[in-house]
Amino acid sequence: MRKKILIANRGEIAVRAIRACRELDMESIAVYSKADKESLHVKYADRAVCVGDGRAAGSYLDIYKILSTASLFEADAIYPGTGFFSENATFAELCDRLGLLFIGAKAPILKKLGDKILSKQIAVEAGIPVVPSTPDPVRDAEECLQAAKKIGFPVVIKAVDGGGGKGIRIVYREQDVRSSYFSCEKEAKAAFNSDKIFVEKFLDDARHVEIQVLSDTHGNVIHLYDRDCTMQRRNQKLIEEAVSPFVPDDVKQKMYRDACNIIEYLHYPGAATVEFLVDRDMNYYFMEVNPRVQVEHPVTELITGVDIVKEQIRIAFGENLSIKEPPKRHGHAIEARINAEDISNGFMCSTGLITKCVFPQGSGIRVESYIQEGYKVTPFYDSMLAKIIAWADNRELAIRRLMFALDELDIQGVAVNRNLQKQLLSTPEFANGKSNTTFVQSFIDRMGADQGSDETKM
Amino acid sequence: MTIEEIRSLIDQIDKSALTEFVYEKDGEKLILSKKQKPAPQPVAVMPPMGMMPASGAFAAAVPQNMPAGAAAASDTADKAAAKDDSAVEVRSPYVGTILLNADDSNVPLVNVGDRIRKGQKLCQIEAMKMYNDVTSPADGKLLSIEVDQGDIVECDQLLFRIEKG
Repeated sequence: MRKKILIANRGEIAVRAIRACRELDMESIAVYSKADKESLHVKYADRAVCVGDGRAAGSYLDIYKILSTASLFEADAIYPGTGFFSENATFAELCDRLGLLFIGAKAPILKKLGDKILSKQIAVEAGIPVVPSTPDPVRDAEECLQAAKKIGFPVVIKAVDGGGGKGIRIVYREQDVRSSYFSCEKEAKAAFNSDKIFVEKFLDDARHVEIQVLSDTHGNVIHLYDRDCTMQRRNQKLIEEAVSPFVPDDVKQKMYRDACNIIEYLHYPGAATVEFLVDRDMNYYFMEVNPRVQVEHPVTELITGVDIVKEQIRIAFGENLSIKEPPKRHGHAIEARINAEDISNGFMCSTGLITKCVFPQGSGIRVESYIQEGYKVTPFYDSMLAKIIAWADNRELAIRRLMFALDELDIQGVAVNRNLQKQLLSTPEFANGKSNTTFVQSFIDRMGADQGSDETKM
Repeated sequence: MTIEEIRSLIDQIDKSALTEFVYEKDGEKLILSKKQKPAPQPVAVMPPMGMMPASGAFAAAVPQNMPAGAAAASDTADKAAAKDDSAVEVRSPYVGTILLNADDSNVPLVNVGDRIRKGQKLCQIEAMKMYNDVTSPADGKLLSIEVDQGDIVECDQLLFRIEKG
């Protein structure tokens, strides 16, 4: 019998998973909220089930409704994608108890990795360099201040259970510690129902470089090279590329080895990304392990030819990795995230009816999206509408292709960040690798707030 | 004729004493016929067991972990989308199996034509061995039952129509 996979997600990653199911000859069951009726994941799935209203808490994040759907429609497995339940230990555990295969990490591993202090300890045990930080959560604002002074400014005040850019503050001055501590605590309580805070050294001139790893239940562990995600704003990635053009190969080899080591140490079969910060002296520090597919996975797929989502599903069903060692890599790939946001209005999320939606085409262009004309962008979810990915033999051509592709992109009805993306791709800092994780924000500050936003009028 | 116009026509005719209405113009023809759906006969209708999760694990695993979203019967009121002031649609707040009968009986909880009170139980939706009541958001008369015993419904699916008043 054809296996049935319930895709417990929305957006472009749900569409991505449906395509993987098709190629594996498995049946896809999509879930959707009332606000997502016109989404392509509803159209493309073999079966689509409405699970509630627009608020994520009443639909995509409603454990009862998602599991009811899985059991009523007799799903064999659940694919969680990114965000939502992908790193939720309770959800993974429930799937386990209901006899549903959760395509991701088991609950105990999710608990360990979800705890930022614990995951650092694991990295230390696995012999991987980490950023200096408090060994335990701080108890109050005063202790936070003392810890920050001891570590030395700038520091990052972080929620132990945080993620996705929430519950995190960079602090440069002693007098800002208190207010940052309290806002961080508040945010963490609201978003993660946890108020545990710790303090970490902030590397203010660092690149974000991550290693893609695949491992199966038979003990095979391989890396699929690295991705550079240095172009980010407020911990939200904007442009990602494979591979990092600026970290020397000997350093990368060590990072690949360390990344595989920690996955082996964890005994986690599946797809994982091990994130590092690399400072200007090319020292690298472990940040976190994400035991799931990443938004930016297509750039790795384009340079390696490996289908990461299909591998995830195959691994979960107990199959061997389809490759036993890293495949030869070929060319360079860059992804630009297209977000519905109004740059001129403080990056406010832009909502409305999509009245026109034309995506770029041509040699080396890949588009991942879920919107179509008639889809209404609501404020309920992440603002990312599409990922435009360009591949070419070399980085320079990949950048040019991505620029042309962004020119062809034509989305009307909501404001998108296309112009900002084009401006960022045109900076000498991006071209020659002189950027760091604070570059995008300083670039925006320099440009003034009134540029970068548009409907994609040509 | 637009969908909105047709909808408002249906509502008007629903409220009127007419049983049939024919409209023809410029090659467009619309026939609306009002045949009251007979009240479901109290014949033996067993809940289709095959559709219910049989594993005991469901019952064991669910309640302790998710008591909140489960028995929120008052949800129904919010989900009911009123097309106009007099007709109310009751839509499913859950994904699950429809149980129209009173507990362990073959007697329907409600029949078409019944006077309904606000808060009255109209049906249950079962999912993972949890029985969630769907209650009426308004006082009125039950105009139609849009689902059958044992149907699997999804959220926002139309279950009942009630004439307010």
